[in-house]
Amino acid sequence: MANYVELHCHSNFSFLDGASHPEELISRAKELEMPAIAITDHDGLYGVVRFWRAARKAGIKPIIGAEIKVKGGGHLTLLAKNMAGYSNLCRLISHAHLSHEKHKENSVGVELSQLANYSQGIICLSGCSKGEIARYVLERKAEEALARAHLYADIFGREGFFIELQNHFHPEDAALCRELVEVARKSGVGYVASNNVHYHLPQRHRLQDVLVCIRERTTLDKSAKFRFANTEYYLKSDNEMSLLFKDYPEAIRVTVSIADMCSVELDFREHRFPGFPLPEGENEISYLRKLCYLGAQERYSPMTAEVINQLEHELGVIERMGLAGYFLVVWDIVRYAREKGIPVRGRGSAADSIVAYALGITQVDPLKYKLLFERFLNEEMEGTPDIDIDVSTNHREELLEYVYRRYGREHVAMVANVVTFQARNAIRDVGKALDMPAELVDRLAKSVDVYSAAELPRRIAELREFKNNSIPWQHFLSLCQEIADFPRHLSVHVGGMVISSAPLIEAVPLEKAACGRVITQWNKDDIEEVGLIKVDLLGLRMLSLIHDTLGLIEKHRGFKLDLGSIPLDDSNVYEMLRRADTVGVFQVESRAQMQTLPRLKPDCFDDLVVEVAVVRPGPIQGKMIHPYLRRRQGLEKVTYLHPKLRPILEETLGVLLFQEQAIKIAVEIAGFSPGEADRLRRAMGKQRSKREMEEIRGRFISGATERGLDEKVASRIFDQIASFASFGFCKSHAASFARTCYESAYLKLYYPAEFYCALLNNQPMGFYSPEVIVNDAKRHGINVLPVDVNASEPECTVEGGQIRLGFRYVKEMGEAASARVAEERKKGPFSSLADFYFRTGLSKEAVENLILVGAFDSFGTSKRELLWELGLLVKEQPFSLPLAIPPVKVALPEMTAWEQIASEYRIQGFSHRCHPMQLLRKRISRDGVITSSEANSLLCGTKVRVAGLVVARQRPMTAKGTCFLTLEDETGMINIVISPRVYERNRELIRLEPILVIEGRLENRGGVVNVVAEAVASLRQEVERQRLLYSASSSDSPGKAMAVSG
Amino acid sequence: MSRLFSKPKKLVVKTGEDGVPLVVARNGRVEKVVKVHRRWRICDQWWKEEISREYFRIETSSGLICEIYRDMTSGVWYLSRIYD
Repeated sequence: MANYVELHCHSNFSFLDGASHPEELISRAKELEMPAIAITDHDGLYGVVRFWRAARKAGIKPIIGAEIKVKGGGHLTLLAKNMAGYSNLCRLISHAHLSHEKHKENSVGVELSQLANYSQGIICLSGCSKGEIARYVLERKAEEALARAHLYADIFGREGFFIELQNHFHPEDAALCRELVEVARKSGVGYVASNNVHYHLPQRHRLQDVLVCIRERTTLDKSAKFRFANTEYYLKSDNEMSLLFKDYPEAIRVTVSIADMCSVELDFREHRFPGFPLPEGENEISYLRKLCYLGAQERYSPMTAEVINQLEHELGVIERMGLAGYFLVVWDIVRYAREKGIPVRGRGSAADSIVAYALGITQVDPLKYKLLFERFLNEEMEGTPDIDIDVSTNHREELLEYVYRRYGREHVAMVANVVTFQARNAIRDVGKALDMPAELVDRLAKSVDVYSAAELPRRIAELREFKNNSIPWQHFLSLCQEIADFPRHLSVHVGGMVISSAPLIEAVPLEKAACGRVITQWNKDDIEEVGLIKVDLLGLRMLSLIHDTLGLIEKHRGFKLDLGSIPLDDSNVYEMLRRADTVGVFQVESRAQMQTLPRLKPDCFDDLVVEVAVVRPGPIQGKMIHPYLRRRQGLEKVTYLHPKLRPILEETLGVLLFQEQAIKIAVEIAGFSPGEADRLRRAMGKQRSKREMEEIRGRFISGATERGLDEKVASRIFDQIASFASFGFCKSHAASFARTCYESAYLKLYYPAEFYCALLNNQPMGFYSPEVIVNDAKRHGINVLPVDVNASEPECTVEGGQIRLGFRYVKEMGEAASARVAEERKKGPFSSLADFYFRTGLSKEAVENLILVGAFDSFGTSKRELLWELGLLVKEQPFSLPLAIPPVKVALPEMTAWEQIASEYRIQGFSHRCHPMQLLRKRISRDGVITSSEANSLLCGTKVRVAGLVVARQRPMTAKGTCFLTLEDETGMINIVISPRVYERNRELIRLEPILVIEGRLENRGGVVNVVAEAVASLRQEVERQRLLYSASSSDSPGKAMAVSG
Repeated sequence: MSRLFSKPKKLVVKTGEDGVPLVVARNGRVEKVVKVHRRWRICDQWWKEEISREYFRIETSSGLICEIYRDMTSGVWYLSRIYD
């Protein structure tokens, strides 16, 4: 065991300063046989949970601390001795962050007075050369240095404050140590050695230099004053440190005695639920029971024995696990939302619970859909259950505010999300630090996947600059690889909110995110690991969409549609789904979904649950999905590996699809308890060593054989579960989503005008751009009317069964501008351009754009003339007399249809009048280019040529380089599949061109049509090719008009 | 006042146990080191031509005060500056 402990150590959670992961530091400490090691990141405990976990695993004692800045002073190293000290540390750090005003000059800092108030249980070290005492000594201000030492000794006690000695082989270091030891002796405090570690191994100093450059926004060459002058800031062994401080052996010894003083546990299970205000005479579980029965009576009439049994069973588990308070908190949030008309819906495994259903948190009947409570909650689970609530995006703020008000700001905070370096931003930042040519770096960044740098070596090798020796390619590549997954900064997690009983500020430091929200310094995994409870409030735009649609229906048709009571078996809805007519429909509009719907042919709600579960972004394992589809289409017999599996897998034709099924199988076949079975499921979902898998397999097989199964069969069943484990879906989650899917399909089918209108008003959302939505609406017979200054509102509206576009779709028309138009119009309609211009006072750009999208078309003047007039108006002074001489009427040719569409695309993102392909059709149809609807009806194997706007482009990680496109023309959409080979040959075209022409063979499998691409051309190329081929003599060059926004 | 050599001069140095110079020699002239005033390390420019050096400001038995350094990559010693 080493006799030195490092007490001043930065991980990469000292953002843009530390260059090693917490785990790397621990692993190196273990190699050095350090008995303990501290983590002291800048102003925070960001990496503490990971550090903690790794240290415990390695058998090393973790010491929790931070390096803080004192306001008006310098750095100090603080270490927590015990839980009181830990809480104080959290308070000090939170205070520094929360009281920091964003735009003020000086950075986050701790007030001296605060330090004095919350010093109990903390050991303080005087800091690095940026510490006050060291600075005074360097400035030859011995008196001030001594005074400071006395001050801190008073605050932390003579046994709680130490002068910190560091020696990094800088010219003044040795002398500084001598002086500091003198200060220690004169002030009666101890001294201790540290190494201000910034990386675990010396070779990481390169990355550390680069991080500093990124932080200071400069290059390596220009950053000498910010960087360390040498590479001494690594985790040193006790021998190295002893040699370094051979004149002060005491300094080394004291590191161990300080370590012995520190002992902190990160377990906050006691901090969980805030005290819930209960009515007289009730405790948490009795109140919960009451609410459940009230709710169940509404959900189930009559209340059967089955319902009551399940309720009691679940309430028993909840009581034993001490989670009654958690359910009450969630119930209360949902109740408040309902009262305020805020759309909310529970999602995830919570739908497995009848308690959640009875409380109105979820909308799916777990008994009817045979869901499994144990998937959500069982007494053997580690960690806490997850209740996620989807709330309408537009109402999320309101709901969050309620929670803050209800429980107090000290008890609520949002969970943080750690933004890390990934391929693209890594390339950009590293390239900049290395001062590589900006254009080259940009090209490289765009050529790789956003998140994966796996292709980087190949992409670099392809560059012509690769042979250029002045570019440090080796360094660049290894730095990009090293920096991957490094924390960069914190942002707010999408939904997670922590609610705690004791003030949260004592368990985890809080700070403000860029948007002003108070967040914890930990991410959701960390929060879960220490036992704190969180509720996820996720904004779901679909809920806003549904809310708005219902509002429009009420407004225009005069009644309130209750989605809770619509029949779930409307055959028209399923027919629409089978046709994959699902643009805008929740969960089933993606390209992949549209390909599966016609093959899966959903007929009833259960089918929809499967559809939602089966087609996910992520690993779509051919093994499990295709058998289901084959059996569904009658291409394969429905068989079961063993008759005992029938009742469990019958609903999915003998194919294992749901996690709940896997759990049931383990229970029925191998006699696992539901808790064990759920653990089995989780265990197999993660990477497990061969040994572990063998062990689990052994238990399963022995359990199965005990129950009379043949070993071979048991083995095959286990294999099925194992291979399914990583992508099997949670049925309750699928059921919740299927419900919302059905509702949105229902609305699209029966109230299309309101539906599309709400869809356009809630963009961006979903899989498709507004452009596709507008065209889909038109194909469904809903006309889309242009923006009109006398008829449009800021948002899109329904006008006589048609959709009137709103000002929100015009560039330069922000909320304020749109509101002004609406306000002015109340005084009376606009009579002319001039009338509009002067009454609203909008900017020239905004009015110009309005003209170009046709907002003034109802006045009858051509757009060119209006633009001319605008030019004159802009020159006039507003309150002067109108021009005495009417302007000379200029006869200007109107814009061509193409020019109009092009401007509309540029300003709105789409055209309401017609699809660009409609205008282009003539130019390209001579050589066999056909429309998408024609292609979709041809026979499999036919060679076709199609063209269209690229409205979807995907290259999923799991598809091994295959690229999927969706092209849209004036008749509809068509799917294109591009093999990796063809993709590589045409990568630039496919990635950048807005309109493509594809030649390939038609594939028609079970009603799903794809064109397997063999050749790819841009529109430009095709038009040119056909022109030459047919030596046409059309005068206007296609190139000029091809300014369609991509 | 000091004289910095634009082209540092090679030295032969004998060191003690923790790398501290004890005797320096050049062109037949040998000096014993009586005091090490300062010691520092510089590691820089790794992205171009790496500089990795350990410097010592020493005083010799003949009263000479100078700066020498050891190239940490090659192990070769150089005289870089003389103080007068």
